[in-house]
Amino acid sequence: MRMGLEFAKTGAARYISHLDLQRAFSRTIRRSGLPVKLSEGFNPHYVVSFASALALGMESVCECVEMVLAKDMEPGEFLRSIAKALPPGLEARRAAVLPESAPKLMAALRSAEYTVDIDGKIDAIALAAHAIMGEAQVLADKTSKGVTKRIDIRGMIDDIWWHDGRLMMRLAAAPEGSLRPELVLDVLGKQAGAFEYRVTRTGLYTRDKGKLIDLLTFCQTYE
Amino acid sequence: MIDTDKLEKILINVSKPARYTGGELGEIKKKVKADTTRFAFCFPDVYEVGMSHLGTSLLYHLVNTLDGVYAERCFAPWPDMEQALREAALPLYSLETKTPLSEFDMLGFSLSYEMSYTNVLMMLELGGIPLRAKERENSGPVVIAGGGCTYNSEPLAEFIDLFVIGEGEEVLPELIELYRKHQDTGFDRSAFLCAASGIEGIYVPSMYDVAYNDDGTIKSYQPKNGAPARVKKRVVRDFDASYYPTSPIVPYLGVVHDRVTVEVMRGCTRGCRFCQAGFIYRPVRERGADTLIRQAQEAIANTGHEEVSMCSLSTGDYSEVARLVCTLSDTFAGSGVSLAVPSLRLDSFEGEYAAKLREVRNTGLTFAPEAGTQRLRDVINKNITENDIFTAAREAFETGQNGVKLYFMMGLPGETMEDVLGIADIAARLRDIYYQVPKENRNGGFKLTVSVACFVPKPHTPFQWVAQDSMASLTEKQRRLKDALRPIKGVKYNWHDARLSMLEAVFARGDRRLSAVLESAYRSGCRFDSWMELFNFEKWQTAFETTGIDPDFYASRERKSEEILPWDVIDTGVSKAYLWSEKQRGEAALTTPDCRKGCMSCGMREAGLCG
Repeated sequence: MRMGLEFAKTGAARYISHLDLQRAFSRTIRRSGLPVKLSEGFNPHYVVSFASALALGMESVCECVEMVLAKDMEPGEFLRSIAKALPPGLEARRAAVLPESAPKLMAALRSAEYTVDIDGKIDAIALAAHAIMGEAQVLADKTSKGVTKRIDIRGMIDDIWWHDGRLMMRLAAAPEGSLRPELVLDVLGKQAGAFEYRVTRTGLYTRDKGKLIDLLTFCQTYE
Repeated sequence: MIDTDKLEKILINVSKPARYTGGELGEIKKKVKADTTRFAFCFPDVYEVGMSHLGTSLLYHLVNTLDGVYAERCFAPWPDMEQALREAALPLYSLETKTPLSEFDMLGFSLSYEMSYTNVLMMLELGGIPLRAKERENSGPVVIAGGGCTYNSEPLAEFIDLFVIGEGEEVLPELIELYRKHQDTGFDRSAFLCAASGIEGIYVPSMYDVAYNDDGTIKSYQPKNGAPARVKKRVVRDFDASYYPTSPIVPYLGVVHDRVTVEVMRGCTRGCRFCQAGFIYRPVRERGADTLIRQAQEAIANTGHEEVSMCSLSTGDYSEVARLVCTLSDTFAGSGVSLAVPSLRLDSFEGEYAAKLREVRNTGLTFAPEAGTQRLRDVINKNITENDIFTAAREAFETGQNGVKLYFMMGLPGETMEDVLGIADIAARLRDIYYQVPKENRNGGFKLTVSVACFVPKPHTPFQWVAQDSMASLTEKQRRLKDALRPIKGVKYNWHDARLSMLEAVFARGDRRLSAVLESAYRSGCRFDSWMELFNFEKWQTAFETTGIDPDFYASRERKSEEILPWDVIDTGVSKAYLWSEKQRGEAALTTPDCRKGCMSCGMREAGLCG
């Protein structure tokens, strides 16, 4: 049986890298005693598959992971057991049985929502954000493995808006390409002047017949 | 508590920030009250190394079982973090409560290798603590140190208030209790140190006056104010019943030894003459197999680790090794938990036991013949024959293994070029044996790793008097061996930097005059000296020159039997006379049997520590 789990990664746990997170889950599973299947082969290990890697240092309230159970169980019972075994900073939020036919979480993911807390300069940033959404092209400098490239990120910005005094962004997060929120914030900083911020990932989404839908819910109700 | 907003800003820009956050599963949380005695375990290397250190983990959890005491952890910050802390004007702090080191009652440094000493100075300075013990006022922490290097702690004598000699689980609770009494009545550092020197296993270096002869050797070691003439090491008597943590901290970062460890045995009876651990950790004490099995089960349930390792100096000599390995492998069968047995002695490697191990996981074949010829192995009392190596290797090859690791030392006393080239002969023979195995049983090409360390003579061993081989000679031997190994296909050759081994030899057998060199090297930027990417030999050379100290005096000088050695003040229970007789037997290439087969009168029994 496929089981999906949504969890939060906050506090000191935001400094856990993706590789270390996989190991933390494997140890959590062993501590929990849950009937998660081990891989075949010489070096058996628990197979857990994350929807998306979270950047080191960022907090999230919506990370998703899936695993295969050797026997059926209620999602509520699964949630209670894994919640007890998770280390500090990782918090289980909801569990859902995923039908065999549903795509992998990773494959279904299309976009991620980020909530940005900002100190001051809100008016200038709001103006800059509004301007970005009206542009056909937005150039940003992306540094990867020490090489900086100028790329057009406009197509990977789904939306930017304000909610409760916080800047909200929904950005592409898909196997074909993902956009890091820092790149957008750099562009805003160039226009509005540098500012301090703190980003939290607050949603993972897919698209179903053109409509935006929560990733775990989509896979859970897949027919 | 330090400014955590400032800390967050620097963490995002340093490598591996999880080194500096704490908050792992298993971390001890306590409420700090006005009368809480606060202890910080300080490990002078990065988090991943320190979190792999069994002794620190054991003592951290043990001290936290004491009422009114809270032990926390601190590791050496990597250079990027050191710089960030300095730029942000943040002091070095504990992981649990983010408290600056200067606010602790006691700091306990773990000294397991000489090349971590500059990091001790770095941690003291970053923690806001005066470097030299005599500069410390009544306020501020008592700086203590323990671990293998304290059996000659003289190079750090100026920086450390007191050393714990022997096993910390015996000494620390007594020391902390004494501290709490002094805390109640108004703390006076020198009165406390004086009282502490009365606890067996506590060495207070400031309570000894050292005088030197014209030739630089030690003239006398004079205890003051009632300090003992020699400090006797402490040992755990009932090892089976002694404390062992089964809910250790589970690091988020991948650490060096990322697994559950059970401590099978302390001490070793083999008596290899180069091996300091074999002498200072006597006598041999075993933990019962049933205790170990229970501890392993509890620790796996509490941590969720994927590997269990059995730790000791010579696990193959453990009297219940076969039952332990078989039971553990059955216990964890099908759970994805594997079993690792390090430090396997060649002559204890048996078929049935090896087969069982392979069922769980192939851990590879590792032997430590240490020397290239039988003659030299007899000199060092490493009682392994070439036949042992070849028989075990053939058996492993026939079951489909293709990789072997061999560990050797270079620069052993009495070594000739023939001994060095003997290493290449062993490699060539192993390759021949591999290709004698029928092709259908072989698993790929032959792979042999030959790792050769430079011999460092250590205190409290029969070789404590001998000169270390010169850097020029070691470099030449390394080159000759490299040439001899080159034609043998499938061999990977690793060797140690002779310059680093020379420094190790200086500090291993150094006296307290070396504190000037340490401080000078530290001030010029030496840090993490055992990390090759950060090791800077030129800075060390300058430190010797500016302080006028000759490293050869310590590394490459043959000592006379009557010389007063800087570590004579430490009494391990093994007599100097026994060590000298072992040195002489070594020179005559005479071996000494395992003392389980009959007492060799090393002195432990007479000291009341054995039998």
